[in-house]
Formats: sequence, C-alpha cells, structure tokens
Amino acid sequence: MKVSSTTDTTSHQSQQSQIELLTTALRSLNNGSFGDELLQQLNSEKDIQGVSDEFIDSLDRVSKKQLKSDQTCSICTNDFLDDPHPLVVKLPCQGNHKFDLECISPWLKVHSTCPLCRKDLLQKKKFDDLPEDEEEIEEDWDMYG
Amino acid sequence: MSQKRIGKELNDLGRDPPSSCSAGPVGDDLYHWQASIMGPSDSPYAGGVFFLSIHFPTDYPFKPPKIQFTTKIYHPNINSNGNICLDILKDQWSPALTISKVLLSICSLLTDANPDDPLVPEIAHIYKSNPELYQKNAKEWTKKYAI
Repeated sequence: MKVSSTTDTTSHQSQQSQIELLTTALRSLNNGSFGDELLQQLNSEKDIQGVSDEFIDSLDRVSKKQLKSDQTCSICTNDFLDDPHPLVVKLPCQGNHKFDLECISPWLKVHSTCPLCRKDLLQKKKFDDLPEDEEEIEEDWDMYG
Repeated sequence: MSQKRIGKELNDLGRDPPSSCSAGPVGDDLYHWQASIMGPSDSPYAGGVFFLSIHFPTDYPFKPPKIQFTTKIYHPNINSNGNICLDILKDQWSPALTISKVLLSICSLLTDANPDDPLVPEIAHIYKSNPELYQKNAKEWTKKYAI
C-alpha cells in the first residue's frame, strides 16, 4: 500500500515536471502560432474550473407560473414552456439569467461564468472569503491536492 | 442535445437568414456545414464571396464549432490555412452563441481587424504601418480568390 502511494506521488511529480519542461521548451521554441496554440491549450486546461455540485443544487428555481411564453433557454434554444414540467433555474448574475437546469449544469461544471453576461459566479464569494494571496494558495491546493 | 440544437439553428437560419451570410450542411452529415460570407461593403473584401467550413463537436454547444475559411483571404487574423483568430471561437465561447452570431462576428472582424492579436504578423505589420498597401493587397486577393 505504502509503496504504491509513493509511486503515485513520484509519477505525479514527474508528470508535473514534464509539463513544466514542455512549457519551457515551447516558450523557447518561439515557433510562431504552433507553440502558442499548444501553450494556450495547456494553460486553458489548467484554468478550467467549474462550480461545485452543491453550487448547482443551490441555484434558485423558477416556478412554471413565473415563466412567460416567449422566454427561451439560450442553450437548447427551446421555449421553457415547451416542456410541460420545466425545471428552470436563475443564476446569481445581475440579469438573473434563466436556463433549463439540464442545460446549464454541464456548462457550470467546467466554467463558472454565466453564458449570457459572462459574469464569474464564483468571483464575489472568493474575494469576500480570502485575501488575494491566500486565495492563490487555496487554488493550488485544489489543483494538485 | 447537440443534434437537436444544430437542427434548430438550421431551421432558424432558414426562417430568418442574416443579410450577408448563409450556412447549411454539406451533405447528410448535420455536424459538417459550409457557410458563405459576403465581403462587407465598407472593407477591401467588398464584392467577394468567402466560403468557410464548419465542424460541430459532438458536445456542441458546450464546446465551440471549428470554423475555417476555405477561400484564401488577406487578413491579419486569418492565416493561410484559413484558421481564424477570434476569441469567441476559443476561450470566450459561450453556449448561448449561435452560428448566425458567430458568422456576424466574423463579418465584423473583416471590417475591423485586430492587428494587436495577429495570426499573420506580416499582414498585421502592414495593416498598422502602411494601411494603403494593406487595402491594395486585400483587394487584390479578393479579386483573385473570391470573385
């Protein structure tokens, strides 16, 4: 048991150092758009961070009688009321943008932004909770821990 | 989800087509489209018709469509393979965007290039340092490849 966990850590560390090595190599390559694209992809995959399941579960529901006939979900582009039993939520952004829960969930699991106004739904919470430095450390822990 | 949404976009494009663009499936494959854009009248691409290929990922609209020019075009943000440097096709993609909206954004990119984030540095340099030469070259390429 102990041996295998050590191996895991080692392989994890070497994977990390390989990524760092690759990033440095790509930077030094300075090979126009190819290197840039790869770098961008590496970075974007690192940055992708969605919201927690609890966050999604706690979104405010919008009842059927609050929905108007011309309102649509901008992800599936269907009218909310096309569904006889719509399960609609509103996001904590300024416009309180509404989406079918089924449509917004897969997006929020990998992005913490509202698809319509791009507001980062996690931002406010983070700034309230933690000073900037600690916040960064916290993020690193999440990523590797 | 993706199939239904793409089908719906196709219907909407048929019902309410944008004035300067068109788009639709190439064959039986709903995930592979061809689009055309008319060169904006206030740009050196005026008079040209530019074709693009669109590939939808299976997890569309959660991932952006892959869009490339198949007609050669002289532009700081579009390279010789037809790749387009446009933020909404990359990290600024949103599932609330549609092909119609993306094509309109590409039209605006033709009118207003973004030389500070170039895909073709040589053209971006000419765009900034010698606008007349950029206009001349872009018009020549339009005449040669898009008319």
